[in-house]
Amino acid sequence: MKTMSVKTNKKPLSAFQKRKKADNLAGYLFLLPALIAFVLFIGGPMLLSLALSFFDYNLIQPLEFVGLKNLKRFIADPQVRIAFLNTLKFLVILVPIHCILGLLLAFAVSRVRSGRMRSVYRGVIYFPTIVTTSSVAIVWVYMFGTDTGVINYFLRQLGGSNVPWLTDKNVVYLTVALFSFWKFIGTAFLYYFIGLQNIPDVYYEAARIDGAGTRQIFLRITLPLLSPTIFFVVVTNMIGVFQIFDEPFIITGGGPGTATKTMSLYIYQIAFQQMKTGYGCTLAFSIFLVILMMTLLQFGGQKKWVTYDYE
Amino acid sequence: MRQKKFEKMGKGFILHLFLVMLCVLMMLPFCWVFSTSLRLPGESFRLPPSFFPTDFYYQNYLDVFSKFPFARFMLNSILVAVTVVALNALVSTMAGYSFARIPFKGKSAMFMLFLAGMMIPSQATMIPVYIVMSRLKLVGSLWAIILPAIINPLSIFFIRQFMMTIPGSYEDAAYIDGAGRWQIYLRVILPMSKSVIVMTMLLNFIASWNNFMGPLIYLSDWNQMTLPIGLRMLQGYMGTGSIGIILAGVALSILIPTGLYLAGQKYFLQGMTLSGLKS
Amino acid sequence: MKKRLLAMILAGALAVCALAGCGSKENGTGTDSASKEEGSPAQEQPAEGDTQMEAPEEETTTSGTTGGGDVTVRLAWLGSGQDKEALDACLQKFTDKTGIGVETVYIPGSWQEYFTKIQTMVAGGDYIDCVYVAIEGFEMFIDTGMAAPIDDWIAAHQEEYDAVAGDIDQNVIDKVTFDGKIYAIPEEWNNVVTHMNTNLLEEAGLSIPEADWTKEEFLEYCEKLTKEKEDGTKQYGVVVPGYYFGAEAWLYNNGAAYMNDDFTKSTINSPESVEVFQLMQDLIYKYGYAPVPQTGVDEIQLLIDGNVAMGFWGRWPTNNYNANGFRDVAVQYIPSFSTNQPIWGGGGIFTMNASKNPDAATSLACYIGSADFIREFMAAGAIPVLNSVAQDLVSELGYPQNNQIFWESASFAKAVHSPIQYPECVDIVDRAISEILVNQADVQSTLDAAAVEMDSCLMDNIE
Repeated sequence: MKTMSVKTNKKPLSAFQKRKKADNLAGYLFLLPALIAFVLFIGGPMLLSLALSFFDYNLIQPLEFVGLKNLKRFIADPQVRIAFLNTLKFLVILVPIHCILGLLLAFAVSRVRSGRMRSVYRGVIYFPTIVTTSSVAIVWVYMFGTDTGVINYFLRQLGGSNVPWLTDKNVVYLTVALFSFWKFIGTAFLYYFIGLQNIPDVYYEAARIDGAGTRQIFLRITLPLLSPTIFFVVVTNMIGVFQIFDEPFIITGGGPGTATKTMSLYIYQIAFQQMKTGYGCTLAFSIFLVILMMTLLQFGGQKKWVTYDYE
Repeated sequence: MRQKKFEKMGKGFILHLFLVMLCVLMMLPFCWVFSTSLRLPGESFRLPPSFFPTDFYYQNYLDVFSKFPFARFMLNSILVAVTVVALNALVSTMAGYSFARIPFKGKSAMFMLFLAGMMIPSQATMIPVYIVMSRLKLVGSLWAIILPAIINPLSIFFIRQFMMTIPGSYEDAAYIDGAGRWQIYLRVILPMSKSVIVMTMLLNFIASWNNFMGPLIYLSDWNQMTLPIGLRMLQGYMGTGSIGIILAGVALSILIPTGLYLAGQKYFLQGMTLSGLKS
Repeated sequence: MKKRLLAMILAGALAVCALAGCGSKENGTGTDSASKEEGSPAQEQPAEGDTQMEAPEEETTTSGTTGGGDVTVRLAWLGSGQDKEALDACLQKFTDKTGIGVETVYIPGSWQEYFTKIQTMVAGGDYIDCVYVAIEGFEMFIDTGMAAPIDDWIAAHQEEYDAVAGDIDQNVIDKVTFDGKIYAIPEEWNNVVTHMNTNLLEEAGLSIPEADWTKEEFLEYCEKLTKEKEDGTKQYGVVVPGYYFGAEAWLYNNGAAYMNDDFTKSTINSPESVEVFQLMQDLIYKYGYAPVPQTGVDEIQLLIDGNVAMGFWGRWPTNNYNANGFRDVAVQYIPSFSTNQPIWGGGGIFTMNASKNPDAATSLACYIGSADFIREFMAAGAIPVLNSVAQDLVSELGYPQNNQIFWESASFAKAVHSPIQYPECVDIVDRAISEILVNQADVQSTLDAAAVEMDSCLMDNIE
């Protein structure tokens, strides 16, 4: 993204821009609504959250300064380790699913010649993302029931035995992964699809003339030219998975045991069920730090594989 | 030659077969929802399950309205989504315009700030925002869900990217005609950015429609609830015995975004293909 | 293009205005009683466009009685307002009698969610006069200073109070007494008993067991009631009570508990407790008599549908039985693993500290606890705390069979352990139960870990 802004600076200024060169007032005026909202709902709360982690607060009784008590608790809390580990597991499972399968699907659909079929496929694959997560999650709970569920019924019919979709601490990850694929693959798919549409045909034609096969075209042309999109999808996906809440909350309730208890679920429990607002802020801030580190690492690493200058 | 053509057709066939199967699998849960929502409550769990309606017990659809403030859930969801989308579009296009077209001091720092905002998880801001909302006495009101959603760094980013591709000559022409920044924004930039605006609007609509966490922590009143949380409450109330009624609710909740998606799909596609075009 | 975009934004702006109307109107209903007091009609006139949207809200958000005088009391009630007609009708009598208006605020969700929401309402300055609280919230409401003692009111209205409290076991009054002060008018309660699908009992040639049935007899029942059904699904003998209240009921019958009665030390890993949790795990995995517990599965429904023969609940499933037209059910005490000690979990109406009319609020609480109200309002569901009413109402419903065990234990039932740290303790117990029953974790070590965790959270109670 840095490269992009550098590029615009290099562009010759239009007559209009020259005349109103340093339009500081206009720039900030247009930015003002966003800035106010940003300070109120993102930046400000972020700092407030840091400050609150040094207090005990239950919304009713007055704030009580407790120094590093919450931090000490954070370090000693076994639930924190479990929740971080689970979040990490989701990261390792879900990010590749979305980033890789989404790309392959987008590539496959973009290869479909018939425009009508292409839009049908695109529509269907994207469709689950537009429906209410909580309502379809409810549906999945019914479908994945061990004894009464639809899925196990068919497995039994096919001669298999019941799969403990929601009652085994390992299988439950498969269940959530299946749900996540079905529900959210459309998002990554769509970003890739846009990216693919934007690759000028000339590149493909040139490659075809050179006699390249599908696989070669994919590896040599699609992948490099799509790298900014891939980068974008990976980063947004990782941030998204770190906030995963709806699925464990509705489908598994964080269980069985603590198998799918994620950080955001834990924060919800601490802050909004147990009313330990201060400690909740400590937890929340820790997530922010981890995401920040991860994203910085990725931005550092992007130079090696992301190319922005094909246009 | 002919063989090659065959091969190609074969490949195309396999591709279609794979995609068709995938699409069928992806639609199956919806079929199950629909067919089960038409079953008698007592027979919801009758095995074998069916993916096509076997009964037409449409009473479930009436019950969901008569036994619950379901219409109210829908109305609330629509109100929230529409307000979020409108306010968000205004805020994001203004900011996007500023970032894309106006040179001002500290612009790149500001832009980096907003980009960093994308990395801040909602959990990290949720608690302080909640405290602020409770001080403003907005807990329990739909505004508590709307206000935080009017700022979405991602929308600003998309819009900025798009607006940067609009040739400066249009602005110049308007400027010569005597237009100011605001008029240029309103009359030149906005109309030319229609596709990306529609795209972000749809994305924001979906995000708002699906928002679960916000309503979960802010809404306590049955009549202030939006669909996601209302449906969950409905599930808690009915137990599994009347799953047909719940599924009728689920089916209805799918209706509006589906319609919107079908209607907006054309713009969506235009927005996408246009998004990357350089002058 | 421009026009359409403008139209879209315009539409959005319209929605905003509508919402703004909504918001301000909501405030209107929120401070209804206040505005009535001041006699200000301003908020009663929503903008033209809003009326349609507001109509359903006014009807159902909160409901209230009519004809109240200057004083209106706000009552928080768990539920969605499905029972609002019945409740309003009952409360109307109170208004007619006393001239005190009642506005009921319905809050749907679980108890946990209900308490959290009330806590935030209070924190946000949205006052409530009196509130129905279940035992899980007693300590929390008192500790945070949200609830106020009602001794003054009792002293001033001794006769009114005695008319209600005289019919309640002292054992129950003790449960709403803290540091010698009475905080609430108790209303209803539940124990946990064995529910049995009598059709399945009959099929297996079994009759309702004796009140003091043993673990061995229980296992025998389980075995006979577990079988493969014709459609290939399994009929389970029993579903284990994998929830805080139900599991402690089992512990009580083996002389165990989650913690000591001072709430200072966990006893969840005592040998007696381990024995009970081991039995639950064995019922699922060793014997195969019980299904693995699963989120989203309604176990009461399993009993109604005949997928499970026995389950452990209080009287609340009668609501489900009613809704399903299901009558073939009997109840008996939980098997005496070593003793028979019924559990008590109930609730009452608390008066809030922030109430502007504590006197009127407590009068309302007392009315809700009275026989007049309960006879009319409660049919199925929990057990009334008023002894005379409980006997009549429980037997009037006519089922489950053997239903006298619901009320006959009121005088010796022991309260479920609910310290201030109830939310944390529930979380710890739920996790332990899930680890043991679903993940087949080792019982002793899981409970040891739970005990350590619970101890650290009960530490604040040691003085």
